[in-house]
Amino acid sequence: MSDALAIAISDLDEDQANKLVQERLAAGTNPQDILASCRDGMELVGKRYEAGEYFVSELIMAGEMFKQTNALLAPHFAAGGGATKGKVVIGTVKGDIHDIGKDLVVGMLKAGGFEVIDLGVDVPKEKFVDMVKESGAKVVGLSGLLTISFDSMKETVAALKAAGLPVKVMVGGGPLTEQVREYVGADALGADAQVAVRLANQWM
Amino acid sequence: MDEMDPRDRINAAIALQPVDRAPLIPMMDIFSPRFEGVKMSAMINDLDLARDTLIKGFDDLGGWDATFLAGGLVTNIGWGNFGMASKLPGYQLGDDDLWQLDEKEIMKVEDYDFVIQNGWNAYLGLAYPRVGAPCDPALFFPRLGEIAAHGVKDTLIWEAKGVSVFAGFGPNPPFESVTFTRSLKETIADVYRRPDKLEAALDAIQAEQVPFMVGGMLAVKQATKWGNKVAFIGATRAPFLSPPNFERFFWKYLKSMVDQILAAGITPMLHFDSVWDRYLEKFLELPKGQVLLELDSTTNIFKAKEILKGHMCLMGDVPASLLKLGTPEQVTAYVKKLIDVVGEGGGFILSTGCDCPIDAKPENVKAMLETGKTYNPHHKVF
Repeated sequence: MSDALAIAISDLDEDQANKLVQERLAAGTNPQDILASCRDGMELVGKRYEAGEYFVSELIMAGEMFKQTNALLAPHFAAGGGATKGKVVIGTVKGDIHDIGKDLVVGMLKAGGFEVIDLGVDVPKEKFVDMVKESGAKVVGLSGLLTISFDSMKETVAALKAAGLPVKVMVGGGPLTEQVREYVGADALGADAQVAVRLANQWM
Repeated sequence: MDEMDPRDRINAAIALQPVDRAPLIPMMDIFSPRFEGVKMSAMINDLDLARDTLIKGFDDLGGWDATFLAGGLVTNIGWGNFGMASKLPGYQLGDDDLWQLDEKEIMKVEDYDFVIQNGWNAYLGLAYPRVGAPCDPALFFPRLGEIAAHGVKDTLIWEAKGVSVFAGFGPNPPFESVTFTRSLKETIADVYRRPDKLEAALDAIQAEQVPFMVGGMLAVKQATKWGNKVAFIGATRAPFLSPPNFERFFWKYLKSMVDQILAAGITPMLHFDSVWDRYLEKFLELPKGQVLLELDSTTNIFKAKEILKGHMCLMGDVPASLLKLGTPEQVTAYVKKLIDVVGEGGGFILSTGCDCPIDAKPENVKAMLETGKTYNPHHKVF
């Protein structure tokens, strides 16, 4: 890879990445091209994670950097921000307020080119249903760390089905196993943020 | 082999010596209250009730080798929450909801200098007012004294029943402490943005907290017959770090902490939740046969056994999801597999992976306990 911005992001060089984004904006580079460079860098971060070179801390830091570069670019985009691969509605389910895993997945999905509608934590099933209806999202991600979240996930999946919404649902979180996925009735279990991105790509 | 006394059985397991069966020490402080019909808010507010509820659960379920803790962990977390925001039953949550930690940036960047100059206890004095109700200092500090006094009182009440209390609270690895009050995300960013400052703060926390917490444990140890022989050291976030950062910000502190706790005559129990698979070889650096590693089922305990066999006693790890969603037959099969594989050759304590969940099926919990006490393929080996 020869793009200095993508390299700065993939090497977690925060100052250099921000500087390059500002320089390219000042030089009149198309913001979509700058965003594409950032995404290339994030893709490399994901690959290094999958190869075992990077750990979760590198994903967290890269996610923070990508958020910053996006904030620098945001004022230069027209409303809507251009085309995305598709919409994903995501949240930590009702009764659970843990957000570390969810935030990691949100960051990697955004970097992967998806429009992510993050409903936050302790999200009731009705809110997932309403947001899927409103946005037309094709994919829903449900997160939880506690065993009490399994029942909320199950109820949310049932509510999405009852509303007749054609969505695919992925679930994730520390104690989740295939047994939990089956109980909940989700389409897939995401072991980590990279798997979530892969699933979203398959389902769009 | 003759039937062993529970305390001898536990000591032998830790020392990797022959046992008649694997000791059984589940963590029941959120399951027992629900099982006994005691509300979570009552467990937070009434320390005597919290202890008595654990005792009732122990008796009603037939007992095991030692109670994991003297009182409710929920009680201690609720009031001694590391300068971390939390949501508590009866306060921000319903009366019978499970307490939860609320990850927020309570510690700011500028607080690093304060910690380096004034230490961690002084910082917590700053942090509690920021955390907000119910951690109002007017409520919190008297309650902290009450919790400390209960360490001895509760242990003696268990001992009067002939049951020993397995663990007391040891120091936290300083990296984990910072992530609780500063948030994981900000702490990880500090690893990259201000590593020297973070390291200086960790040095200051370690220098103060290890003697402080060990001193507290020794006071209980000396005032009781069997209490506080094991120090609970919790960690969850450190394995997110890549190797050089893991070494610099976590492992060197852990190693030094383990040495200091052992020097005080206490056994360090590493209660390490989340996935440690990539760092299992590191535990070979800790003294042989003197430290316990407790895993929560997200680390592969069978792989841990392969690597740490003959070096370190493992503890765990009946999965929370299995206790909630499985059948008694599935639980029994898993417990047998643990005893057969991880218990092979000794060096194993059977337990729940972290806490037995609040909504575990009672028949599953009973299957775990019954199998743990009766299935012992190794007693003829020794």
